[in-house]
Amino acid sequence: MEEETRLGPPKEIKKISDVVWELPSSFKKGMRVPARIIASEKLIKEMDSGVFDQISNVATLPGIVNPAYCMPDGHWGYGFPIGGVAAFDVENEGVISPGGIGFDVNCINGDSKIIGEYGYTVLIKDFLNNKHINTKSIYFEAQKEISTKPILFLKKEIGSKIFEIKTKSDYKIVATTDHPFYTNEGMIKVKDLILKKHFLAVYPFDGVPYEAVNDKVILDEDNIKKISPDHKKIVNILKERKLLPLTLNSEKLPILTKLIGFLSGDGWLGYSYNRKRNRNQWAIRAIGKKENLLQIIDDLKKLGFKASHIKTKSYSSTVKEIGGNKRIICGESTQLSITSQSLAVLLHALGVPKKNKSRNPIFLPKWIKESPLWIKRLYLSGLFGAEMSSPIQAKNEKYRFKEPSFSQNKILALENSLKEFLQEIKDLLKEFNIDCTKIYKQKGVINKFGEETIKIILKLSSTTDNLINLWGKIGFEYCEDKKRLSLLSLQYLKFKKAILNKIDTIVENSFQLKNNGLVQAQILRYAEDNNVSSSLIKSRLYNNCKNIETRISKNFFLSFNEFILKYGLKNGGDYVWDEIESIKEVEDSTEVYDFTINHKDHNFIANNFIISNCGMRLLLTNLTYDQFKPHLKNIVDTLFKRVPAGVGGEGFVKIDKQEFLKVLEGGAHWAVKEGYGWEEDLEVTELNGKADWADVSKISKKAIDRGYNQIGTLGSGNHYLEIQRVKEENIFDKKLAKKWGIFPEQIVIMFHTGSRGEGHQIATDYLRVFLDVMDRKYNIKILDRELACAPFNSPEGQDYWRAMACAVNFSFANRQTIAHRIREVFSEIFKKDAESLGMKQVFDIAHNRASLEEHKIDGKNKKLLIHRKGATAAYYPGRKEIPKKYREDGSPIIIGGSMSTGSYLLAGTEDSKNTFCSTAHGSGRTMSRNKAARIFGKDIKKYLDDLWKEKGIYIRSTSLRGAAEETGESYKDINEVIKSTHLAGISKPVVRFLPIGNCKG
Amino acid sequence: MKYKYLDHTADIMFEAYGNSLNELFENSALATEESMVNLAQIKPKLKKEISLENKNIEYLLFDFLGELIYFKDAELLLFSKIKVDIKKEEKLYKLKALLKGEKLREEHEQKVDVKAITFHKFEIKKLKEKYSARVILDI
Repeated sequence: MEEETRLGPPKEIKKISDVVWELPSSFKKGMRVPARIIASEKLIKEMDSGVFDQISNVATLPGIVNPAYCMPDGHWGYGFPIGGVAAFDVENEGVISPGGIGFDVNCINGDSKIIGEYGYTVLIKDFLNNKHINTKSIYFEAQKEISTKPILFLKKEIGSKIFEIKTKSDYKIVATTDHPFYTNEGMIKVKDLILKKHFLAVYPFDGVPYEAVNDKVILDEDNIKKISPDHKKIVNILKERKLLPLTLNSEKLPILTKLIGFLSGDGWLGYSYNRKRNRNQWAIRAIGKKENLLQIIDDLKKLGFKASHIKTKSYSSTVKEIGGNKRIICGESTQLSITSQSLAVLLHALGVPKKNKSRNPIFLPKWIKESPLWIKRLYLSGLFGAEMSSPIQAKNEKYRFKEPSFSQNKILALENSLKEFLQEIKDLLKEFNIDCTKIYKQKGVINKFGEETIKIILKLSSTTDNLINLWGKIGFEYCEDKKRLSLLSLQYLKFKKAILNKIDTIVENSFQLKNNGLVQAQILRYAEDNNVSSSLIKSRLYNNCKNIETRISKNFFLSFNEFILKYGLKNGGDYVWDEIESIKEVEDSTEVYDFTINHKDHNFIANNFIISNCGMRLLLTNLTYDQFKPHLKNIVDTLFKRVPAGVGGEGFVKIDKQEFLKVLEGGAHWAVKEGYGWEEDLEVTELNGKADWADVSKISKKAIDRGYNQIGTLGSGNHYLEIQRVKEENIFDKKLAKKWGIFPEQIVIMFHTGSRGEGHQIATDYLRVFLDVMDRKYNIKILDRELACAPFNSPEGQDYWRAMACAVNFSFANRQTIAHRIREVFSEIFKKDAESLGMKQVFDIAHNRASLEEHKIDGKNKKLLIHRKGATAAYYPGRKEIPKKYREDGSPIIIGGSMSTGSYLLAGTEDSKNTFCSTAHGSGRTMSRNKAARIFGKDIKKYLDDLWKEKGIYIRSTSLRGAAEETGESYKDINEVIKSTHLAGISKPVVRFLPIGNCKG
Repeated sequence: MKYKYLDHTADIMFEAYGNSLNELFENSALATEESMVNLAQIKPKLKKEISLENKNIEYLLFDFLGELIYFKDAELLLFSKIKVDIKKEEKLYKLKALLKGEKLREEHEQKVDVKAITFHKFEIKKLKEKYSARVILDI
């Protein structure tokens, strides 16, 4: 009993034109883009159902650019269908929404808050009026937040059901059924979320509401004049960088504000004598960990200033405490030096204190006091990044955090001014509903001038709500460690609060029940049914005990450390997992919002659909059919002997494994250098015969073992070498055919092979690597293990990219040495050298390869990784990938047909830009090998005899079964395939070749 | 029945059977070898031993069949007598296999060159006490 293959497309297919068909993205769960099939009606009806299944699987891959394509010769492969073309965006980024993180904030309720890059929130429905705002996003691969520009914004009517998703820590978001959320199992649509199974990624930071700002001037030329005597130059620079006059709505103000906050804490700014330059100069130093200083460098760049000088030095200094004790502090300090004079003057004018901080007063800049809350937040978060304590727990307190504190040291004379400053900070915090418990002083250290200092400390309340406000509304800038820990702490507190709220509700209800006259046993049962312990209810209801938090901790909460283990990211990061509490359908407004933001971690390189890198090469001769005919059998027999084919196969090129590494890095260049072929062959080979990013350290010993003895072998399956004849009536583009060296009755040679065992070993090796890391490390889910993939910019993706180049090079070298062998055989038999026989190469092109190319998407040039599996690059005229010789013609495309129907040479045409410059690669099978062998196997000898006697086609094969499987009848009508690509405008026929002799594997 | 070939348009798909995992692995290996050459002609002249381990039984089979392809390319070896011994230790499957066969010669009736084992539709099923595996070979 054998499975019969079903033929034809599913009923969801839509006809776009005579040769273009589309499976909409609603066809299958998880499709990110529609899938398009280029085919005539006849061909699409003959395609096996596997094609539609597989191409729609491809359309689910993350990062895919609209649409996924299948060429007219498409048939069932594994992973990708043969004939599949998919483009992936290499440069884009990811998004975040407040309650659940989505790649596309796709259709969520208009009142959902979106966090902007400067920590303020905007309702999604207000985004239309605030298009300049960038959103905070999560770059999943690095588990880091970044800022991104929304590129597409749509408001639309609801077409589907609306759901409210609630998490354990009380985040709520309303979204349509198809809105995807980022979960522990990758992106999952609302309708597919499963309670208990899926954890949602949440970004606990709340931010503060955005308020529009006016163009009030904060700083002008006069302010600069007061500070700097040689102000003219400085003023000019600041004006040039649009920093003067500085207004409240300047797009540079947010960054300046963060910097001012940070430098007021961990910075130094001064004007002093510079020995090198022999004059007084301004200088700024920022002190912190390198990762934070790098952020500052990035921000300075946005302001228009360069800084790169980061220096780490170890220090050992003696701190004298008042009272005579001395402490020696050793360690490393990393500093960023900023030498821009104008920036220093600007920052000082805006409020960064000058010189030794203990000897100079600090104050809250007046303009900050007059700014909206979100600007105040930027100042505080910078200042706190430098000087606020990190979330910390007391040793025996597993569930609570200590009171945060903020302190500075000043000399005694400045005690009052420092107190005033802390009072101002306290007032400012009040605006965020953050309470401080006290301001108090301690003895400080002795500064380096030998003066006594005093330390004044501001303590903040450690209640849950207060800490949620502190870490959720303000947080930390320029301090990754504190920021990440505060995000976890914040989420922990929210989680804890949600549980407490739930208990409170039960307690309240219990009181109600008690008042209604229920007896204790009934009330306790009610509480237990709602997961609240009876002892808790007893103590609240009957013993009047109020402080329930400690009492219930053990039963309800995880300790903070346990929480981190369960919900934190393994290697730390900017988001936290949260459990889904409920998903329910809700009534909602009729409009939902949709905006798309591209996402970086979804550039990826897929594995097994770019394996063998096999390709076609076409050689010319100046022989005519009549001249050649008498030698046909001899030539084919000799080629069959000299170019090994079949299972395994040892090539005529004998090299050791060391030399083989050079093959993998040099490709066809290696072969030509070793005397196999002509320099000019390289000019008419894709990539000039060498993928120069190959790295042999990225491939396994096994791959080398499987490859080094196979150079110069054809392989088997559909790999072959064919002698073909040009007939006048088969030349379709006379001008181009002539230019490319083709004339009527000419004999040409076409062959098809790839990177053999080596290429497959590389693919298999990386398939295993990707299967291991894909989900665990990159949260990518796939429908078919053969679609294993990793982000292109990940270490694994890059390793594979470099390993794949080794396979590409092997295939170039393999075809180059075979071309040489063919020339040798012809030369021997015709007793003329290959040059005199006109054995020039027309082209060499792969049809299984991933290629980095630039394409125009929505009017913009984008770098895409194009996967072509059983599809050929078809570049329209003018593209730089085309060898110079052919550039104005469009790229030559070699299409191998079956042995009885013939092959084609095509040229790329204008509309190939629609298919990411791709077209068909062959005629495509219609009959399974098994079936073909069954039908033709018994009489294959007779079949081959008849071909020779009746059609003059001479075939040699290492395997009779192989020949039976490759009979012309097992393939699609190639003419129909070519016609479809022509009608679709992606390639045009130049000439058709008819086979007269064939060596098969 | 040890194994049978099913219809697949471009590549080779087979289903192998066994009363035990050992038998299932042996028969899958024979199906793989048989697709490349007429196995009746392959004499047990040489032997190779391999050991592999994996937590996942499907990955173990995938790797095991991959070894056969490796020997075919690297040493032109094909095997007709295959003995597999799988032991489960805690969560880990440990495989030892003894392969007997010979180097491919011109007289051998070749079929097709298998280039890779694929994961497409790859699965091991257990029904009552019988095992079956489905494998697609890339050729």
